[in-house]
Amino acid sequence: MIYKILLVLDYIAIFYFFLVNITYIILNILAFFSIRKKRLKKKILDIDKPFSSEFYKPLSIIVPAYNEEKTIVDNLKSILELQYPEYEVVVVNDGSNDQTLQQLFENFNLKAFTTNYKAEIKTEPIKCIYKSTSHPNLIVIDKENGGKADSLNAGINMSSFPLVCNIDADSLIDSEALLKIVEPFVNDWKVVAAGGTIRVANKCKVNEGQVKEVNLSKNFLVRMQVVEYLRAFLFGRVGWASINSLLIISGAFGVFKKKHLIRAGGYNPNTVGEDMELVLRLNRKMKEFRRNHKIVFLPDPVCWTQVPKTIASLSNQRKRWQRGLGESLFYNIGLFFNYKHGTIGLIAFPFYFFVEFLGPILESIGYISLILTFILGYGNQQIIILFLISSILLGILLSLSSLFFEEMSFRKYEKTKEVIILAITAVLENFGYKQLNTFWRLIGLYELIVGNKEWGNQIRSQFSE
Amino acid sequence: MTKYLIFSLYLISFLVVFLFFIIIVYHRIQNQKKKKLNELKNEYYPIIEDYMNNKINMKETEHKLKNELNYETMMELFKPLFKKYTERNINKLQALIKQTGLNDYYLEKLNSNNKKKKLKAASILGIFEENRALDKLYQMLNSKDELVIITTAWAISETGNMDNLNNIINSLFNKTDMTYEAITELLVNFNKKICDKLINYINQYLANTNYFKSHFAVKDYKLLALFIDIFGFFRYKKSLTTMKKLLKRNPHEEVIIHILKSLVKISEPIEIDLTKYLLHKNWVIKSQTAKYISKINNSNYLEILRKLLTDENWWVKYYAAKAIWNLGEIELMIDIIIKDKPGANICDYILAENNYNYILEERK
Repeated sequence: MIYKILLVLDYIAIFYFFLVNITYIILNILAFFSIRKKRLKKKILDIDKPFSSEFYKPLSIIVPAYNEEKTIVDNLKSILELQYPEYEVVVVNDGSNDQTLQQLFENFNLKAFTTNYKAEIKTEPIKCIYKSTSHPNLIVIDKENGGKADSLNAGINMSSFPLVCNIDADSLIDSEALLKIVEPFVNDWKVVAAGGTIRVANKCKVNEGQVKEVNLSKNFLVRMQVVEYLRAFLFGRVGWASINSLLIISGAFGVFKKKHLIRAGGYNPNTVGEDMELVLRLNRKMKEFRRNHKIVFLPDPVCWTQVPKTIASLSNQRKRWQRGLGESLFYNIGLFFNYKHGTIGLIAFPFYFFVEFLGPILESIGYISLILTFILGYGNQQIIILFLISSILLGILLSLSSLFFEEMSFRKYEKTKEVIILAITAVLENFGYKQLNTFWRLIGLYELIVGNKEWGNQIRSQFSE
Repeated sequence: MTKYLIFSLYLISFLVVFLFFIIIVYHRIQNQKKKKLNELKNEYYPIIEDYMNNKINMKETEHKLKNELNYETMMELFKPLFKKYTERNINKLQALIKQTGLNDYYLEKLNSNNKKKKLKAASILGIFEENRALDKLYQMLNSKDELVIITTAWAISETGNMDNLNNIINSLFNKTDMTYEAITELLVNFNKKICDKLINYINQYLANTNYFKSHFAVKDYKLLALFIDIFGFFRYKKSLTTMKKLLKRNPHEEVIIHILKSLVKISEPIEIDLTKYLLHKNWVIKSQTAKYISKINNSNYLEILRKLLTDENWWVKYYAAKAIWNLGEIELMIDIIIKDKPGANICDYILAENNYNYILEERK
């Protein structure tokens, strides 16, 4: 009996292994050609566009802030220095209980302002609206706490311009990043949303709100996340975007056409995965509106963010991401194997469901059943060992390939020593770190089932000067 | 089964080791390439600089460059210089490039069957403003490939030759997914002289409203907005009469917005009553009109501007108050604030923005 159960479980694990790795290999190939195509285009059309910005549509940047006293000033300084012709910045203080609002008052000469705030999307009550006398394009909304999605919705309500960009208050964006991320909206009328790359800012040298020198952190956990981010963005999102099946635009840096955002109902405040949920809903609604649309990902415009440095905060983040993923998928379950939504319905959504969402369960079952099969002496032990080794090696290969994509495209880490360290990290993360991640995601799933809605505490620190 | 697994294990292990080293070797090669290019720049930029400053002649410069560098490397060196030198010096640089034979080299590449080489050559010949490439570029414009069309149109625009402007606009609008903002960006490459041609197009449209549809197969408002943006970009005063004629036709809201934005840039008065735009239902039109008035300092609209101080849109209020400020009506603003009349809030803001709030303290 046990033998039969283990056999079935082993087969499930093997099937899952093939499903995951074949998809990842295909995504890798797609990403490779996509990056190559972008490189080629850049080489050919390497045109200096000194006037480009003047004709771009005006844009509203929304910065939700909850207890961001340590980073909000640097972040806003960087945003207010961005190269873009016409934009406003809407900071939404989401009932912070630290000195966030005070910091804004001290640094940006705020003045209380009466204005007709149109609540096109329902939000928590607004306490006060401020304008900066030093920066006429800076608006600060002080509101009751309602979470990140609620803050973003308040910002959308307040925004005046046709494009809306969300930027996290603990992130920094490159000075030309806005121009780059808006470019697809100009070059292709079908584009309704665009996401940029998120990179790890820990240990990078920051001056006047801009990352001036990219350094690799000495913290092992941070290094692991550097490799993870490269993998997620340079092959995951590039790959999915190349078949027009992008299901997520990071909450830290994305641009949307405001009219579609409002038509879709804005961000969903009932999920901690509001960024993914929005993109899924946008995909669904665009089809309903019969709007020929594209959601694109650009590996070039960069947003720098500080990643967790401790096991505790990292595990909180990963558990939250897993809950957010589950909530987003369930809110948009109508996409599941829905042929009307093309590759999104038939490939991307089911992949996210089985691999990203149910993955921790299937992986854990796989590990346990294979180990048990091995210990109990069932089946061919040699095959089990070979299978485990090849799954680890494939993991290493995929991580290394994203590092290679980084080398053939952006080369942010200039020192050879750092590249070697990253390559070694790409190997090491497969021994323990990935398994730990699976464990956190498993807890995340459990929390989703028991209805945990907590965001969890995030520890912020200042960017290094 | 075991055999296959062992084989795939060997294969993956090989790929892992191979990729590991490829990453490091590739990184080293790229760093060395970068270093080499910097060394070349350090060596040859002073020579080019001497040539640009007339310290050495063209023949001598050409000799030094051609003897030691191949065409591709030479291009790597020249490319950044196009950004560095102003329009006056560019001609001198182009003369040197022509002398080295780079133009001929890329003209040959333009006939290549390799798409990458061909498009790269087109792009470079555009930067060189090489008119000999035009026939081939016009042929390429008929392609169905979007990248070919855009690259070719960009190259033609850089040569400044407008013989085939209709065809370029037509191709960009109808054979690519570009928005009109992107097409505007491309067309400004033709330089200021494009404005007269665009005025001519608009005049033909004003004489026959089917003109754009029949010649470009594009919606009127899109083309008009595009053309008007270009007038604004070049601050082209001769376009004022054309824009006035258009406004009298009550055009599409988008066209009104673009006219007002261009008027803000040109900052010259236009003989037309702006009242209806100040009272328009569209906040962008209202705010841009107020902004325009703040630029031309026309006091005829003071009363309406005062009413706009209580508009529900921040930007309308802001530009109305700014216009009042620019008209020198500081006393009026102080009066509004002190007596807490409607609009006190935005007047207070404008005073603070201009560091004049100390006056309020004195008056109080």
